Amino acid sequence: MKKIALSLAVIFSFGIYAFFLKTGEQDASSTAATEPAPAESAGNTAADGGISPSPNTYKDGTFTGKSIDVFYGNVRVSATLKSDRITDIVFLEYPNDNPTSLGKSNGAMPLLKQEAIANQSADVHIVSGATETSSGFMDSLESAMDQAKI
Amino acid sequence: MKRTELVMGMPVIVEIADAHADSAALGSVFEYFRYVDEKFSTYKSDSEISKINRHALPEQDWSADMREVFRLAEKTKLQTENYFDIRKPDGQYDPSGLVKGWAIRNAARLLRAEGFRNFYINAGGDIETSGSAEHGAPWTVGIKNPFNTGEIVKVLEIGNGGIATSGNYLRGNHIYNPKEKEEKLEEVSSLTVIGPDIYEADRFATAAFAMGKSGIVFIESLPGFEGYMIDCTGMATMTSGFERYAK
Repeated sequence: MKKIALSLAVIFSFGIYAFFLKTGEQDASSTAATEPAPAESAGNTAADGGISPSPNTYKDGTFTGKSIDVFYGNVRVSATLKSDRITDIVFLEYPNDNPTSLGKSNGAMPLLKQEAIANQSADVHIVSGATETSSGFMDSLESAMDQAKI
Repeated sequence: MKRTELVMGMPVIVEIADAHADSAALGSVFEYFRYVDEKFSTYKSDSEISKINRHALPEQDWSADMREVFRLAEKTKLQTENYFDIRKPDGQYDPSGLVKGWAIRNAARLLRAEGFRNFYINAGGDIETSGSAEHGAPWTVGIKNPFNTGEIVKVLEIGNGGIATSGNYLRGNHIYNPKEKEEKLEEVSSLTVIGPDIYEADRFATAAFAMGKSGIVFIESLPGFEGYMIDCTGMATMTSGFERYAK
């Protein structure tokens, strides 16, 4: 069970990279990483120990994705990858806003309010929750990751 | 008047608050979901999608609904940079990720066409609401606690619209493992999206969830959509207009 959860987590992590990178090879600039990954990230990678899949399935570096039509404007991001982990995502194009950095330390979302979740004992008519991730979704994600592989 | 049935492998709950609600109206919704299941289920060998996957049905013989779903899938694929693709690596088509939200929206349109204004349809946690509950009280929608699915962590009043939650509760359970505490900090346990209808809310919830913590910023950038993201530490981040739905 744990193994499945971890592999899902790993797939999830690469999903965004694969998603934005996609055909980055042909379309976009890809530069070698010149800065070490944040200490936190390096620590995490080490903490994974033997559980992680073998490293460097994906290239280190910063990859700029295609400009994506999201229906209300365009989104273009660059993702920085280090030792098979995403260490930063920067929005280069963004509808109705200036470029925004989404570093993991997360001065990230100044406009967005945060709160700790707490149990509400209220009666409700309807409950919204996730059903299990559909297999098509995971298949699609895997196929996208395949394209980001070295 | 309310009814629950298992359709498409999940509990579907329909409640109509209008005074003229009857069991025939409820029945028409479930009948529609069963029709969709018969046509689009990849688990049924005699479904239209299975025939297409067996190359036993030439494209000119596809139903209008099948054509529409393929058209919407193509559109969503383009909008998500090929990320959302109903064509699997083995060449088979599996439109189930799109069909659920589409079917709920169509079922809601069916009820409106029958003259109903106050109802909700909840298929496996993805919901379209219309009007209000009995006595004019707003429909209340609870967001499930991803770490304890018997709990509600937020109560919303949507009025007319769609609300969908993407998540991975399996991973959420790891939050209490101290060894993995740091590791999980950046992960998202659930992302709830409110949109103009359930089809739009569902597909954007799916896409945004896959973006990790950037997903909530993506939702913020979409006019007409609000979101509530719960990370693995139990912290929630909400879009700037979200609180107007919170009770």
